Amino acid sequence: MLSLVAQSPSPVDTNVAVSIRDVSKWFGAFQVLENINLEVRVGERIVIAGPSGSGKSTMIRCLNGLERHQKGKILVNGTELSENRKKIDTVRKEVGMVFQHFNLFPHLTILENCTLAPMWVKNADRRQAEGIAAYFLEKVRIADQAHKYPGQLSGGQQQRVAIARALCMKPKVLLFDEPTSALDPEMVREVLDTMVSLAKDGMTMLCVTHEMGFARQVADRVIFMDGGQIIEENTPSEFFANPQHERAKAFLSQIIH
Amino acid sequence: MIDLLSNYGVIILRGFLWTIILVTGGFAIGSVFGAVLAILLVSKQKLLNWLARSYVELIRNTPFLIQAMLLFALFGIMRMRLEPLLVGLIAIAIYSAAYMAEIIRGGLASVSDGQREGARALAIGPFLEFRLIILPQLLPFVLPASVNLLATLCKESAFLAGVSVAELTFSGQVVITQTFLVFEVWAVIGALYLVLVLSVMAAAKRLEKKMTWLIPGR
Repeated sequence: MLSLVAQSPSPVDTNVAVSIRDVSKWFGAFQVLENINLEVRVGERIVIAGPSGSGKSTMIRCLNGLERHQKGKILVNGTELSENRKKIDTVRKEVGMVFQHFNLFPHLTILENCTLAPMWVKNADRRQAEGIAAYFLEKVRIADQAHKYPGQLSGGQQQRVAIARALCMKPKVLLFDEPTSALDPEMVREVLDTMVSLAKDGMTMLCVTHEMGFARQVADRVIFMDGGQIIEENTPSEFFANPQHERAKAFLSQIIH
Repeated sequence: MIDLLSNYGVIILRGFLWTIILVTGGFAIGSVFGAVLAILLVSKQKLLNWLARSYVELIRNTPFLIQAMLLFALFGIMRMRLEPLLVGLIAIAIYSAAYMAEIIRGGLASVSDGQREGARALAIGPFLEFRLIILPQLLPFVLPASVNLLATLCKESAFLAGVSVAELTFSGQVVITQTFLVFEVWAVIGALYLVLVLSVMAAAKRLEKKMTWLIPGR
């Protein structure tokens, strides 16, 4: 229903954070994304669920140009993602990403991980960058580890640092690509708590996750993908109580015991 | 011995200096060429990839002396009269490029794709990505291996005497034909190689200890 509203001719709508229109993508002969349409409003929290290989990671990786789409249009904060490097970098400055395997830089301290991009990409001076980093490290409750190296922290701590690192660029949108899938079970909670608090602050978030509790708690919409298509899109309460599609039903019965 | 050194020391020293020049010069050129080859080795362009791979395997799996002799013969066939020292330098460059290519390729592979994606997601461009993220993680891997290569080159370069390049071993042969002091001359030459290789190793140790110069902004 929301995607119908999105058909308005004006390409730059300041209330729209992400707009995906008829996007398709192939890996060789294999089609990973098939006519994806999705509109995300500013401040909206979207959870993307679906079996592995359904294209959900590929879809959010297209949103900051880590993957290129071959058909259709993607606009992020009004900037269209194309082959143009400048445009890709414009988008990347405004879109933070949190990866499954954290991807922290092991040769840099926690603080340096957080100040690197603000200093080198946004030309912030060191004092300014360290101030911002301290603020966000405090926010993810890890400020006391600022001078350690990533390898000295637990997985959950590393993932919280990765979230802080993304926040230091003051992004307008945050993408999460299975942020808790590589964590030991006892560390999932601390990362989810951090994500919940971000959601409460009004951050626009797109989360690929299997954490259905998180989806219930914070998502405005759940997107269910299978075979490279969005096959169901609903509020979490409706999606969990009353899934429409057979494949969604099968998926939910497998994931919720 | 003192007679030997006072009368022929200059010849030996000149050979020693040429060995240092040939090895460092050849290694420097080879490293640049090797870096290009390494990029081709990881490239998705099938033909370029195959060409680079063939080059590396050809050089790494044949004796250096044979390569040097072939190179001299090749210039001969082409009727190019080049200074033997220059041909020696080219031979070392060709040889070290193949090994450097493998070393750098291994270093590149040791930095995971996640690191590159982490950098890209933060809008860090290709140049800064290499300087800030890849290089500092690559060098601790590449540096010790290339020092080993440099030490090997110091020793392998002795084969260039076989194609009359006036380096250290060749100067030894020259002195022996004039003095017939076979054992003494080779002992001096051997000692000079030892000094050279140990100096390379010592310099590398100091460089490795202080890798912090690699970390941006420290």
